[in-house]
Amino acid sequence: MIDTLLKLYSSTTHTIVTHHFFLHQLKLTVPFTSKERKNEFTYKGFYSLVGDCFVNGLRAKGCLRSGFPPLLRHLQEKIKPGGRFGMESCNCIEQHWQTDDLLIKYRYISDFFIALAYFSIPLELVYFVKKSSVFPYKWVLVQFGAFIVLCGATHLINLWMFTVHSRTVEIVQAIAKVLTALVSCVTALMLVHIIPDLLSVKTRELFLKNKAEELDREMGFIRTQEETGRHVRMLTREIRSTLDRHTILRTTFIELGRTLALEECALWMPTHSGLELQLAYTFRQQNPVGYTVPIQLPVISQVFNTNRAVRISPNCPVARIRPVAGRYMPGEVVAVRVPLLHLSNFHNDDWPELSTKRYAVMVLMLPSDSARQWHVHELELVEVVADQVAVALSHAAILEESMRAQEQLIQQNIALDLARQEAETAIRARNDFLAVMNHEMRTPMHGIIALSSLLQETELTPEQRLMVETVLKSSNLLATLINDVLDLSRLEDGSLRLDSGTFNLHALFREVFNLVKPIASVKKLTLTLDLAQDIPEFAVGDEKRLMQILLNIVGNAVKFSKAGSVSIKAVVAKSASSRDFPASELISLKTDDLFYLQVQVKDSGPGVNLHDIPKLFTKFSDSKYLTSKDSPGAGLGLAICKRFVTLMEGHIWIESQGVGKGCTVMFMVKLGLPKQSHQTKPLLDTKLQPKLAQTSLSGLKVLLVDENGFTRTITKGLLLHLGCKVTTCSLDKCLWIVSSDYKVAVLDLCMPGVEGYDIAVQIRRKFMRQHERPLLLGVIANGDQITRESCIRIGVDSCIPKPISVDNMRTALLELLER
Amino acid sequence: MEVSEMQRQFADFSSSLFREGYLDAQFTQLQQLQDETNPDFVVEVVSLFFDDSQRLLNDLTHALEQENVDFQKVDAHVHQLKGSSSSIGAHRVTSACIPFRHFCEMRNTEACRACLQQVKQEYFLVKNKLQTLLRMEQQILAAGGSIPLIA
Repeated sequence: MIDTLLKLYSSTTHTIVTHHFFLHQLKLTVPFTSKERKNEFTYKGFYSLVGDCFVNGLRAKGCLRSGFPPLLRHLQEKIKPGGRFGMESCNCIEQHWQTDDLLIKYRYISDFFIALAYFSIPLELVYFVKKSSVFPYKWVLVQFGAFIVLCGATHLINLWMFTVHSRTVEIVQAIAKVLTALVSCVTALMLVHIIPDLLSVKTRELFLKNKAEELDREMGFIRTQEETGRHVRMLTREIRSTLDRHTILRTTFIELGRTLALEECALWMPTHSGLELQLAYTFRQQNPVGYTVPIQLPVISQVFNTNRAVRISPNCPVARIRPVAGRYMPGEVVAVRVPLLHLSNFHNDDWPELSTKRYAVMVLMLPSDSARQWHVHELELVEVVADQVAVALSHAAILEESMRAQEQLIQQNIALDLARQEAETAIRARNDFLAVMNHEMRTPMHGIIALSSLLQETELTPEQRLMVETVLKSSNLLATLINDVLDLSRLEDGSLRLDSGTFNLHALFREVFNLVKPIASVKKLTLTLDLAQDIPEFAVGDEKRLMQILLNIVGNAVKFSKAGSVSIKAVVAKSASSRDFPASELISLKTDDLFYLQVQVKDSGPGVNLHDIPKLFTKFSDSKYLTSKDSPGAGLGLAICKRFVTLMEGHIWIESQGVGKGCTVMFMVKLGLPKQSHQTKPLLDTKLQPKLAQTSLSGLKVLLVDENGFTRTITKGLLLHLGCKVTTCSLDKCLWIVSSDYKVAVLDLCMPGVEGYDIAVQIRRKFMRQHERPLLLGVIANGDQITRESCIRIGVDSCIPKPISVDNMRTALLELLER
Repeated sequence: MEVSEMQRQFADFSSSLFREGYLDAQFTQLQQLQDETNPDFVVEVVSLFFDDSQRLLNDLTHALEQENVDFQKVDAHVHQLKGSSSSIGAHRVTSACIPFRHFCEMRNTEACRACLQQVKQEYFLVKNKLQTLLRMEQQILAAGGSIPLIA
């Protein structure tokens, strides 16, 4: 008891309780009357006493246990009856003092403590409730607080009942008790309602705790899933970011290994033969040794048959990649198929799922001693990854193939370009060669022919005559052959262009007839010519070439017929006869400007085998059906005819009933109709020309412009010979000299560079009006079409090629003047 | 010598020239141009040709001896020479000029020099022949004969 007192004493300071307590304590140990109390027990005296106690107490804190009783005894002595405070003893209390002293003491002290406790509980409540922010039952608190306080008050007031007390105290006590009773009952009633609530709060709390736990678990689960999803997305991004096969697989393995914390992953690819699976890539091993596994294993078939990840035994061959350390349990292994899509798979209409294809196997192993298991979400992750890898690999494969194809194409392009350049070079070389040989070959030929014919006219012995004739014949043939070859190569190039002029068609046929007739009569063949009524007299076309064609065909007919007849029939093609036409592409047979001439040459010669007909038109074909030895076989005649006919937009074909029954050659060519019928120049150059020409050319004022003095002299001589009045000048002076006095200006255009052309242009510009300008005659180096065209483009009126002969000059001048 | 003999020799020589390609049809044309109005046409033309060609050949020799050969100038000269020789009908000279021009385009100095030698050679040959021909003509004319036309 004294300990507790001491504790309280040391812990509380200056509260009324302490004050009262001490007072009470003193009252306990100091029995004195109320009167004495009133008188003697003043605060002053009391406080000095309390002060003494305090000081002594504090001083002897450590040994207060032992110290306090002597203190009390000390106090007791002091306050003994007859002591300082001396009091008149109250008899009643004195008597009972000794026997009930202990009981009363205990009751007193218990009451005191009860009161104390009762007062401190609400304080605690208030204190802690103030501290907490949530407390739903504030009014309950108030009620409870009141209840407790009143109980405490009751007990406190009880303390006064131990000693003599006045009526007031009793009344106060009574009131307090009544109040307390009231409040207690109310509280009791209240608690009936409140306690279930509080209890339910408890159950709810439990429930919420469970719920929270569940949510936590679910959250953990979702988080794992989200992690997984993130991994998959990252993986996919990594895989898709590259088109290189190795990078794709390496990235896949690295990411998978990291995400799932795998010990090993491996990819087994099918070999080319398709019978085995070969270890292609691994996660941890750097250089996988070429393990192979036959593809027919049941485990592998199982994996192939489903698109889900399959758990397989760690002991199966695909999983035994590394030497397993004997002690540990190998971790679980999962295998999944990876479809290898090819470009060809996407050509089918149905999805690749349905077509047969190859698979690779991806094997994933968990770490060996971790006792981890494959979770469902991990398997799903693996399946998704396998699909992505398949797609990415197929993309990479497609890209590789397309790049290879592109490279191939580039190579081919380069090769083709090279080939084309070579071909062009070859053609150019050939053309150059031809251009040179053209003139060079013909000249000696003509020399030979000319001189042999001259020789023929001299006195010769019959043997000599025969020899000379042979020489002549062979050289004629050779000349024809050379001409043909040159013509043909130009024809094939497409560089040969048809001339176009108005000519007498009837006369042409008659000419051919006349030319062939002697030979025919020598061979005793009858030659007939039949021209239809509607064949026009004049036509527009290439006269020379048409004659060449006709001569060739008729000549062939005569050559190959030993006896019988050769007939030439010419008609204008009508629609009815288009049935005979093997390939029909006639659009309009006769328009105002054009008509198709159809010619048929029938002979009664040996005929042609039907098989050989196509060969006849090819160059140099060996004609086997010839029996006569002295007629030359191989030739270009028909080939050239065909090409000319084609150039004239026509067709040529041969019909024959068979060997020994003769053959018919038919051709159709397109010719034009002349706009106005006027007298055209005759077929051959006649010698009548010069007389006419000289009269029209004499006195013609010609300006001759040539840089080269020598050629100037020669051309001047030529012009003088023709009767013209010639003025010569050089290029730089000609612009001054040229005037409308001169009818013709002859310009040398063969100089290298474009000076001649410039002069032509300038002369044209100088004269505004056409009729004042002298006619421009250009002298060009070679007479091909291109040069002619460029001359005409510049504005030169006519061209004449070198070497200039008198006749050429005459003709050109006449032509110019006619316009 | 008899006129007919001389004429025959002339004809032979003439045709041999044609045959061997020294002269071509162009020369015949020139001969045709000679008539009453222009009796010495051929002689004039031939002497002009000699002068012109000599000058050109000298220029060519000079040009090709340079350190830096001006191929354009050389080409122009050769072109002119070719033109004149073809106008007169000096066939072989013309033929020799063709590869010369080609090598000028290729700027091949050595080959050009070789061609120049070739051209010179041909020129001197034809010059010789022409001089002989003209001399024969003179002789015939002096003897009172007429020049036979070679067709």
